Amino acid sequence: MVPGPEPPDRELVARAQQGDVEAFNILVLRYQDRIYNAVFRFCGNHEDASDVTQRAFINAYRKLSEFKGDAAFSTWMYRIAFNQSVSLRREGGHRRAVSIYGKDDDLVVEPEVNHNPTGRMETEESRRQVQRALLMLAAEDRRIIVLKDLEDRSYEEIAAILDVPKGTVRSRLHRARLELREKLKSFMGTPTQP
Amino acid sequence: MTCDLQKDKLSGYFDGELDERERAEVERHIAGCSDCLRELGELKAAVAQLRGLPRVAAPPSVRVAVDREVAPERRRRPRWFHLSIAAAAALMLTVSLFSILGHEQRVSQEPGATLAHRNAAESPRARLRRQEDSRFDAAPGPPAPPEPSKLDDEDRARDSEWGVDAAPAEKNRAEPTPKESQDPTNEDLPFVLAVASTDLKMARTETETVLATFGVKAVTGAAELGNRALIKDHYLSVDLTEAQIAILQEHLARHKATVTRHSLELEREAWSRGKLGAALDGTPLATASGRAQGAGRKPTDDDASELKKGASDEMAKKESENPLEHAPPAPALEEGAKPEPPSSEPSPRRVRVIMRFVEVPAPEPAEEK
Repeated sequence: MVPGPEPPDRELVARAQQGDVEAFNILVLRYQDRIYNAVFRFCGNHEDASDVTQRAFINAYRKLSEFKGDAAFSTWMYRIAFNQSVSLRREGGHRRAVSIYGKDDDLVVEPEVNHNPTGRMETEESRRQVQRALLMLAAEDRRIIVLKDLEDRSYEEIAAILDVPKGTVRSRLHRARLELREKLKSFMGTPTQP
Repeated sequence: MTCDLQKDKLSGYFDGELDERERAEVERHIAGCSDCLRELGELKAAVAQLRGLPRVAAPPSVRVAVDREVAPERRRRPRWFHLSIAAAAALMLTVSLFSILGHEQRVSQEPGATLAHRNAAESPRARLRRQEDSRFDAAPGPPAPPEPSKLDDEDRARDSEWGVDAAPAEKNRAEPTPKESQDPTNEDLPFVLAVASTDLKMARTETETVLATFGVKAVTGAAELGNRALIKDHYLSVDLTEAQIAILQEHLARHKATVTRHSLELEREAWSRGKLGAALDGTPLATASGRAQGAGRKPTDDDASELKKGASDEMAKKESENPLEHAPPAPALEEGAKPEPPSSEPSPRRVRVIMRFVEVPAPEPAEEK
């Protein structure tokens, strides 16, 4: 039996708004990895990322009637997720980012194939420093870096997620990147140009 | 040269977010400004390092927690809904029992069958087990798998590797069934989840990981198959909710293990034909009752016969094909297959699931034309 094309988000949301829980489950499956990755890189640990992601989807389900369809469902989910991250911080749920020093290999979707043990260790250390530098940024800068450089959202979508003008996205992003560059320099020296 | 470029345009240029005029402006500028050219290079390097961070996937616990919150919404249906589902399920169970009895009578009329006279009070499960034994006696085919007591050290090691309760079949027969399995819900026939993967160990490990998240224990699942465990294909028996089954299927699918669902009867039939070495066709097979319900009529014995014939035909057709190539994504779960517990019951209903793990060869690379 050949499966049919997957229904678009708009259709699933409409069905979920009518009480179709399975439609919402499909949306969760479709976006949970993306949202989790963004939140994990923003929060720096799996506990908070798990908390925030769960709460984000639960809140989205409860507020489905408020979703008017003027933005993409993904845009709405990112917004809810980052708002939830901020709430978690206010509640004092910001945990020390211990897991960036531990292993998260079991959750990595695209493991790097590196047969050089020494090279692999250097790569892992380099990644930890990048994550550490990211966590040292102000939350506002970190959020925009995650959305653009990790989640590859367009300026337009980032503007919709953050509810700011598109020009503001560009200027904040550039400032955040410069800040990150300085942090990386302090950890690892000047990054080599490609 | 004085640098009068608005610096954030460098990010816009790098991201391809500038219009024609701005892009031309930046290109003209960096052709003559080493500072901005260097800054653009550093910006690219920083972004490259960020993009080198591996992506992480959501753990199963996210889905479990969301489903726990979202699923109770389903139970806020009116009482009449639950009563009508309970009535329909009772009808399905009754018809299923009748169809089993009807099949048994047909088997007893086949030449060569050696079924003993049946005691009318014999339970359906015992009747099915005896029927399975007689099939093994009557039909030529692969040699009967060795009794579990003769399983070699490799299989015991595999059980302990799983960390499951290694309950040998004779122990299952000798000891009284644990309280959990006396739960009337588990008296229903279980269904089979066939997990096909090119990496059997990975598939089993991932399953173990998800089951640990659920806090459920698995046992060697040979009991429902007449206490006969195959050596190569490994069975697990576990009680799961429908939501847990969906999560498990989804998790295994992400790890490229194909999960298909079919009736226990089909599994037994495949076993008797010696066809369990290959993964079964991924076509989701509804029970006779479920199919009839979907057609808006009462289930009949003809549905059971039709199901068996269709299943046999499909198996014969697909047995030589690469199961990974043809297996569809995990099928959606059928709703309403089991009655909902009374609305005051806090925990979701669990069903007995038999998991069979099959290692399949990696698909051949496509030949160049």
